Amino acid sequence: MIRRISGEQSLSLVAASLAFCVCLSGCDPNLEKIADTIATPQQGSSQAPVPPPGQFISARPTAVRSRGLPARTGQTILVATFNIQAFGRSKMEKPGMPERLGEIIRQFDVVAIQEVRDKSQETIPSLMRYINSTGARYDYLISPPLGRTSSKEQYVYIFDTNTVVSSQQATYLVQDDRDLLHREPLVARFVTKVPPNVPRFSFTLVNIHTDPDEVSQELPVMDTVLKSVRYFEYKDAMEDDVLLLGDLNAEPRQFGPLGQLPGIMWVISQEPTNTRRTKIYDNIIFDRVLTNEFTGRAGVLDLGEMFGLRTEQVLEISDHLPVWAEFSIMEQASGATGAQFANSAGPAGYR
Amino acid sequence: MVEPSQLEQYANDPELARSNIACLFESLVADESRQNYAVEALENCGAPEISQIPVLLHALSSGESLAVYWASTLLGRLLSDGPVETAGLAQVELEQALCESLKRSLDLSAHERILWAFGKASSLQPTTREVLEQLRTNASPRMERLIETALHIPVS
Repeated sequence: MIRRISGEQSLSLVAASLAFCVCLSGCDPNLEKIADTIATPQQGSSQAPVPPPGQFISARPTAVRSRGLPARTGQTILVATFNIQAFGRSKMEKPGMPERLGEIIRQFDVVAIQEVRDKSQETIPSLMRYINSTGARYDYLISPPLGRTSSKEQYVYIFDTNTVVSSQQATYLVQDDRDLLHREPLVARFVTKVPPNVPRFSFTLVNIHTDPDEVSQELPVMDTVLKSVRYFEYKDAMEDDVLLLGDLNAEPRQFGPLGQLPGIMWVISQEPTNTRRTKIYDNIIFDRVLTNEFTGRAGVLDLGEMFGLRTEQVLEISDHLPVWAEFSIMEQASGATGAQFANSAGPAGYR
Repeated sequence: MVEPSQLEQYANDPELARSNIACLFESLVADESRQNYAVEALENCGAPEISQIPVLLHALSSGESLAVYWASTLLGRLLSDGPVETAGLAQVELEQALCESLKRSLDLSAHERILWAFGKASSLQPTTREVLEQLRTNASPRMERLIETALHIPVS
């Protein structure tokens, strides 16, 4: 069950949706649509008024510009991934922590979050109150608790409803019939808010957190995950911009078949993404030809610099830093069409 | 009981975590905050010290699913470093302990993690191989894959 909450409805849970599942069948890039819409997601974010041209600007404080994030022009959005280590009530109860997390989230238009661990399901609604306490209008999508043991995690997408809306079409888990992945990725579609007659940049995010002890089993099928979702998204919604993002527990040199997909690129290749600055764990991965909305700007948000904290203090927030990438709000004509991509994936391999 | 803040430090300091393995296993059955940080610490701590093997064997015999899961995980990491032949403990004893736990454990995640741990060993005792061969006959696809890895059979 995918639960979402409307920022405009007093943070009460308003709907549950599991629109589609993409089937991951071993190393074969087979794909099946296994379920039709169970419930239509509520679109709290779509109720937000569309601002006039030139005002598609998020609540990101201008002071942050000096911290390596690009200036807000209204022409781009920032998509990020952030593993908030063991994120539950205990972390939220730390003095100043909700405010800091809120400020981090508000730097971005969409944030894919990993490692929410909270049986009470209170942590994210509570965080949303802090995020929106400045007048911002963020909303979220959350996965069911996932994992093999009783200690489970949830994926979350938090997004700024002033700049993007989540699709009414699909939010779903990749269905892992052969049980190859510890936590099935959470997929969600988004589209930017743009002035009339401007083509909206629509994109699909695939949020993943691999098991560090099973990276050698999970990474070799990550190319299949991405290809399967891309194929499904194109067939279902003509969507060709699919971004895999999250905590892969692997550096690019370990990507294997994923890193060999034609046109594939990852935004972080050198800069460590963990707080101790020793490893690249987190990344944002996509096809550079299809997703030419990417502006070329990406990076790791230095939380120590942002808040003036020492490494040990940043570790109280997380052992990971947010990784971000910038995209145009306008859909760009790509060098290759989604249809070309879908066909190159081999129609005989799909059903 | 250790405070969550202390466990959080263990989660961010693998060396500290490795020297407090017993405390981490105790915290697996505590409240959610402690359990979350204990899991995080066990996930991040890497291969344990040889001297911690008795703690892991105790956890394996506890029958507590999460403890068995993480004890198997840490033993698997240890086995992946090469044969364990120190501290007066031969690898055969580790394998026996894992096999015993395999027979006792009804929890699927713990069961699978034990099989995963066997897959980390470069070679297994004949008795262990026999146990795995027996399990293979009625195994789920995932368990079959884990067993095949442990037995060095090309994964089907």
